[in-house]
Amino acid sequence: MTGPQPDGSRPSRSRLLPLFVVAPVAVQAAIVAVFGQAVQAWDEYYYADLFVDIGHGRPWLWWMFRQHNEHRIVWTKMAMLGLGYFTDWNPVAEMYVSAVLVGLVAFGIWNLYRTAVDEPAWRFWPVPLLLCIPAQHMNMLYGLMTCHYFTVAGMVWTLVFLLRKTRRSFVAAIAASFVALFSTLNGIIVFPIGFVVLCLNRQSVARRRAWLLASATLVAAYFSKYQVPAPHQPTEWTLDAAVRIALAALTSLGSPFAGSSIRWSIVVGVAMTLLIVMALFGTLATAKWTAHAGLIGLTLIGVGSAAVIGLGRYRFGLEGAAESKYVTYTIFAMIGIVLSLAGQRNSQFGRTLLLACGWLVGVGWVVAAVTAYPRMEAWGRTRRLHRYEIQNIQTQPDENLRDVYHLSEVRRIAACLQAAKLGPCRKRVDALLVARPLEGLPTKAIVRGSELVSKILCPVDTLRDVGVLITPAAAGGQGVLNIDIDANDRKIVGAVVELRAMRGSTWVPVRLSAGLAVRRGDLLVVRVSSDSATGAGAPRAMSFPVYSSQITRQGGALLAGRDLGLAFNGFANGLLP
Amino acid sequence: MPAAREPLASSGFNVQWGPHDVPAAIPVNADLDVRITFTNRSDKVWPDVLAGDPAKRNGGFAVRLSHQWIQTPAEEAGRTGNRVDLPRSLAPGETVTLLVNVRGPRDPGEYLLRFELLQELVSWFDTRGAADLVIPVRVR
Repeated sequence: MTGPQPDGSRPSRSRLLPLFVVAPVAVQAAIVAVFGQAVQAWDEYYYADLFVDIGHGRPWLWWMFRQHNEHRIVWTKMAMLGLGYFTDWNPVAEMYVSAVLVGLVAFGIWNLYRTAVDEPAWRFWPVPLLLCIPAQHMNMLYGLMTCHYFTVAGMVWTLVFLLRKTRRSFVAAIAASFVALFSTLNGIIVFPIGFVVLCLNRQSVARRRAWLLASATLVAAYFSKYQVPAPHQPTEWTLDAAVRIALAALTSLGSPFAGSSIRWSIVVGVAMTLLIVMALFGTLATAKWTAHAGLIGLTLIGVGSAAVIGLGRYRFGLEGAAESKYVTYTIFAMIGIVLSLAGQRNSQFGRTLLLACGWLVGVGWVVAAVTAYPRMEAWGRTRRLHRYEIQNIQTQPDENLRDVYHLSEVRRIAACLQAAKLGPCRKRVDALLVARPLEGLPTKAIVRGSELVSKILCPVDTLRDVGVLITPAAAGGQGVLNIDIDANDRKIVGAVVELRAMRGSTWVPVRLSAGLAVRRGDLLVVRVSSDSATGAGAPRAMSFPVYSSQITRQGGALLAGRDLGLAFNGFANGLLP
Repeated sequence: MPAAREPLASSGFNVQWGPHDVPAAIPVNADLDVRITFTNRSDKVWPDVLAGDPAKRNGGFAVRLSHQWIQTPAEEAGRTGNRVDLPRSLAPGETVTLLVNVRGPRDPGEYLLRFELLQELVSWFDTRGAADLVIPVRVR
């Protein structure tokens, strides 16, 4: 254990340090390993043209400082290109970069903690937990979001270096703030926070002036040839707007620990604001602000980010302020508080507040994990579906692509990615889904004598499962539904479905055993029957415009010009719920 | 997706027929599901229903497969089957195998079963110089 080192000298290590640094990296990497998809998400498709420019030998360096909305994300683009060269633009590699950056952030915070607080190393425990809180799943599972981790790493290390009173460290602080600012514009708050930290730390006037000069220079450089992103609306300076800004900021502050509840986000945000005020009061009362300057700086990163989010998002409702992508910033409020309070344990007041924070972190982490899990699954499924749609863009109507990327661009970009086998087109998805799902029509009721028989030429290289879209009767299902599949005149698999258990239209899976070899072009016959269902309780299947080589009959009559709603390998590829 | 609604250029009507499994002899009034394979040997993409007219999606400008019974020597039997949609647009050089439902003639005799492609609202392929697939079938 070492004592506080407000002079900014390097703290000694602890045996727990590797654990504190590696643990959040490991948790985030595990989340990426389980839920990360090798598929770009919305904004990333913008950079397909960067790869095209490089592929065609055209100039591309100008992309590096080009704005991305109000940000410049220089380091993210460099990581994307560098890794993309080796991985054919697999964004999972970038997600791992984010995880590694979290380790760098943890190490930076450790430095701030050990220079500020004379407490055992283990009291650092909330930090690694907070750094990998699953509430920030969107940033974890989105390659482009390395930009946020570069920003926070830059901000934290700016504070670390500012507290070290050497010229070399000062230069390093400027470099770190450059990293933060030229990643996302959110990093701009490091300049006023850095100044506050220098003042609290009672550093020389010359150093403060130098910091202001460096800040002004970097900010001027950032805004050189800056274009205000459209649509830009100036902030309203009214009482109503102020209330909405405050609510949005509180929501953002509390959202990491409140699951997806806006109401709880506000409650937790208010509680955190009170904790921050009391922790700061405790710091001031015990005259520890010199030693705690860096920790106060961390709190200001969280609070300042929440304030900026409130200003930027208040027009769009509170849900916008609670978005997962902001959590990476706002958790710093709690990190700063718990570490400051760890240094105030000699008072009952400080111990009580620390206990409250500990509970909030523990319970909040569990809540975040529980609520994030289904969202991460849904995120993964959406990405996989988008990969399929990009690979099969020629069969996709516009309505399928609205969530993938701008309709005016997505087909051109998909063609480029297909040709270059980049990003979502690196590996072909061996599946076939209904192409125009919004044009489905229910078949007649499946009762005795009106079974559906669909002949289809196997449309995938190796068949692993067949999904049949079934709609139970509105009044509730009765009896059972039988699905049987023949391949090349031999029954290969069947399924029996209890209609009572079915809630709404459902893709019913029929999985083939591993030993069966059903290949592209083999003749499949899918029979859907229900001997026990009669009348109002009978289910229906769905038919769709032709998307396969198929002939379907119901009760012997052809469904002319329509195909039965089947999905091939939809489950094996995680495309269906 | 741009509103296609475009007739194929004259170079687009070039097909190569592949293997099929139409039997040489069938009973009268047979209800057959047969496989027909063909390759786009043109330099144009053959649009499916979606690409043919993305707005209406009613088959206009889509390439489709049709068939017809012809009673030898040269008299049409008058039974034209359903037109079959492509499951996807077919790029130059791409091959597709379609399942086609064929209803056999009511009367026994020697027939020709002719498969032909068309671009809906535009043209039959054979009037633009493309070959049809003609298969002799005995109806018993």
